[in-house]
Amino acid sequence: MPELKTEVVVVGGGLIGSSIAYYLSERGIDVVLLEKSGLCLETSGACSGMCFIQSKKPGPTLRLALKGLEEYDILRKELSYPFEYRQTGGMILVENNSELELMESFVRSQKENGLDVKIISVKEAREKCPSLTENLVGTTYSPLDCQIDPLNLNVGLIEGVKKNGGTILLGVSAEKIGVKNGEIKSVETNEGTKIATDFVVNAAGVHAHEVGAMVDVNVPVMPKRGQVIVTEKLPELLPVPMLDVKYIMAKVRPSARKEAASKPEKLDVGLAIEQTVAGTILSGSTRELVGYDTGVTFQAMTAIARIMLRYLPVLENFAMIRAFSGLRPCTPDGYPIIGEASTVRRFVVAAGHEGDGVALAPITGKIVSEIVARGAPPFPIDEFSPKRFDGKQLS
Amino acid sequence: MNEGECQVVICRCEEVTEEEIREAIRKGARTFSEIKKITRAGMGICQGKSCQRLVNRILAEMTGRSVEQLGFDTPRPPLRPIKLAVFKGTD
Amino acid sequence: MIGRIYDMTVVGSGPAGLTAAIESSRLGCKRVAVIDENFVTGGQLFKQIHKFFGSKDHYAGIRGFRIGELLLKEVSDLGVETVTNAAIIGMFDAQADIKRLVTAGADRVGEILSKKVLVASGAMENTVSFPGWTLPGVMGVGAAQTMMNIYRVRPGQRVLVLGAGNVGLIVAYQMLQAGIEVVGVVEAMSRIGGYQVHADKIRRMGVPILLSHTVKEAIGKEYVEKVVVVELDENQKEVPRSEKPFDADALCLAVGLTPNTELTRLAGCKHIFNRELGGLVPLHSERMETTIDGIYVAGDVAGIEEASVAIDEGRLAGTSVAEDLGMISSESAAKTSKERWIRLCELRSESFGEPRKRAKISIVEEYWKVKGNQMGSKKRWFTEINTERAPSAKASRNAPSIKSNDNRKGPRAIIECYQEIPCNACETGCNFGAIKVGFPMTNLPDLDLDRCKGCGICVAKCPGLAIFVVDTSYSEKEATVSLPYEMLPVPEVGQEVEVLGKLGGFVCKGKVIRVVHTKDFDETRVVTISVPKECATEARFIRVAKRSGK
Repeated sequence: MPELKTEVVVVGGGLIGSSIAYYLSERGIDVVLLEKSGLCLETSGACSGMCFIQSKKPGPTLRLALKGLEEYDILRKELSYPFEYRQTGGMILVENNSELELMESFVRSQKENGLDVKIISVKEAREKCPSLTENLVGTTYSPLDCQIDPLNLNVGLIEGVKKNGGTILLGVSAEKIGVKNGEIKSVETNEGTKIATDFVVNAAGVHAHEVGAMVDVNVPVMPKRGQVIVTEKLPELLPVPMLDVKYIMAKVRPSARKEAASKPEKLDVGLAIEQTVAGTILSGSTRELVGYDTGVTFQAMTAIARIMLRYLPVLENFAMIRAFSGLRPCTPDGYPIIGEASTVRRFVVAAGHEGDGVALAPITGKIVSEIVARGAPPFPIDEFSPKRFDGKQLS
Repeated sequence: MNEGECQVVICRCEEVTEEEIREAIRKGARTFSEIKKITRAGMGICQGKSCQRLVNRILAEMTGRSVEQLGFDTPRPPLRPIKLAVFKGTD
Repeated sequence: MIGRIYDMTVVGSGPAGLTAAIESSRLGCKRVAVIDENFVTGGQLFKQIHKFFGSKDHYAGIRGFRIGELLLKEVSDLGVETVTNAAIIGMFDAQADIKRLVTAGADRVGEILSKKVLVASGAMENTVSFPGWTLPGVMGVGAAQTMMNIYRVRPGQRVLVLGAGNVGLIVAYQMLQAGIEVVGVVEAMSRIGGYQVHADKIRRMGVPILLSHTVKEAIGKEYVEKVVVVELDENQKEVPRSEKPFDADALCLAVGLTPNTELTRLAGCKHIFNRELGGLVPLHSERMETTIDGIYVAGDVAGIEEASVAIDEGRLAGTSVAEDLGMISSESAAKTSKERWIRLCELRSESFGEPRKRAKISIVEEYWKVKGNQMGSKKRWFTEINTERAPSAKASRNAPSIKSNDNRKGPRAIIECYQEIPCNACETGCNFGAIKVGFPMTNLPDLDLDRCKGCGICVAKCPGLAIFVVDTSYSEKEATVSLPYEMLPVPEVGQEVEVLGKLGGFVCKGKVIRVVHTKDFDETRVVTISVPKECATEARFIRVAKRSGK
């Protein structure tokens, strides 16, 4: 059996895993990254590039995202691979007064957590984006929201790992994790390679549950499908990425999440739209519990198209050229799982970021690299600890 | 294979050259889907109808596999571009 | 359209789709629709201005576009609904009993619910990349054919064709008919991939076919001005310093076709890669059903073959749909389907067809492996077919027709068709029963000199333009040669012409002594010229000077 020796094995080569591997390698720590599929072929290859701070649940996640913003600022200067980082600001569209009430309260919580955000008039909103419909009662605006190209970021981080001497193994998965005396010892791959390692990082996204099971740690991550449509290349019509209130509420309201869980066939459509540097518009999105099915439904294509046209009627003359779907890795409480497991020392979980993976990838990388290098995160992250799921197996 | 040949455009919709495709393969891409994510080849309006075979030829050459071992990108709807306007209207 | 459930929806209105719709309707299916994304129906048929090969049942000897007209009339007479300008953008609920197809037209999106779906979406041209391939003027040969034959626009004035398969050779000939100068046909292999008769048609008009050559580069500022061709050695590597430049303003690529399987792949049908058939093809049973029950395939989408195969596969699929909808009994379906498979094997015999026959049989076998060998009774008739070489009239093999220095008096036919290709139009066309092909129709034609009257009808009937009539007893010094002619201007009796040989070289001067054309000949004129006797074996084409003032 071929053998390797390293300090950290990172399981999962999406944005989270590659970010962690990058930060580790930057610190001179030996790392082997295992990616079972290929470059950008799983969740991180099927998402939009919106890096919305506004969409984070006020509380620990929002505060984490704000720190994440600082980290992005550093990363984009240091990573020699460009990833189309743009701080365009962002808007959440409000269609009626009851939505306005919800958002006023939401904005208050966001501000309490340190986010620079306000509600602006339709007029002001249309000055920022003239193609926006007039049929709104207002929008929110934060100058902090960004857009990136997640594909180039993922590849760039992996290239960074290689440059720093780390090892990337594509098409290789973890089959067994060796634990002795309650601490990580090794990983065995599907190719039969045994890797002696001090740490294992579980950054396996929608498959994090399976990796946790290898060491009897409960990592309750489930896939939640989001469908997206892509248009042909267009002139600049969307200088600012946008969400709507339905999108936010479907994501953050506990009652909405509970309802959705009981009706897996419900699409739960909300607006999430951005224009890429290439000129295409990516628009979603749905929230469906359909297991690992990455198919596309005509229902969703229709619903998304209609939402787009409701808010941006000028898009009607342009063509949709593709629809795809991605699987968000979700946890029961909507918070990511970041931290060392309680029952297995040096098994670090970094998964379950749901729709916040883009915004939180660099900061997750930094946190995990600190846990590895210094034994503790750079700031308290108890709310995200995997310990909260100990003893509560996924049904 | 010389300098001139590498400037040959392979994906006409997105103007991706042969060199960019070879570079993506050197980065670890082993399938058309990965090359698409890295270079945008196949993301254009024809969705890879013209270029997928050409990319596969380069992939086969560089990775020592036959074209049949490479597999094909999953087709997604819509199979043809459709104007968003056609979705308007009654349920 | 919304709300009705169709018995069968056909995606694609080419020969396979149309014949399937016709067959299933004839057998009793009531609501049948044919959908096409183009604004006209007929698939590739309407741009095919040449006479098709095959047998009477395959409309052999009839020009493609006329076959299109015939099929469309039948479709209309049977009450089949045809919808154009409707692209199928997706199939949903593919596994369900009622399939959902979504169509998108210019201004509307629609849904079609159908019990059975036949995908007959044909194929797409391949490309090759080389420096300059994106210059205006470089195009697929099929595109050039559409441009010329549908839109009446010449793709260029001086054209080079890359690829000597049937498509490249046929379109090169059609370019000559359109008054385009075809500077050459270039082929990477060391032999011609298409039928010899297609190659002969253009060679006798002076078009060089360069074997073991390929295109290295297309040069031009804003469009193609020059094409650099290079020789290949036995390992397909460029021979150094063998570059040959050709002045050309268009370069047409005839480098193969790929089945359009997006819809079948999207639906989730299992596919397999098969080089003989053009790439990824859907698995299907001998009844043309894919691994998803209720979805069938026929024609080029199931493997790149010929129109005759598309027609038979379409009928086969139509019968299967009718059977599966309960319109006809399994026994009756099995009987006709078995006959059709035997005929398909006939079409796929000998050197051109044998690899495809084996490929198709392996597709069917793979289908059954995936399906776990269920439905044993439906499979039985297929296992009864002897797909090995069918019994044939051995005597007719390797027996080329008369030598033209035969001592008999009077005109006699010479059939210059020396490959086993699936075609018997000459046998059907001869009113005197002088030509025998028999079974399988890939047999070489056998000419009975005692029956041959030298009437020359076969000259016009052969879709390959491979038959000539020679009379060496015309006069003391002269012989006559009757040849098929499909160019403009039409020669006039009494005209002096330049007589060309098999490779387009000048042989002698000749005189037009007769031009025969009937409605039945359908624009293939039989032109008889007188030539010096010693030139009769060589004389195969004429160059007619353009008359002034015309």
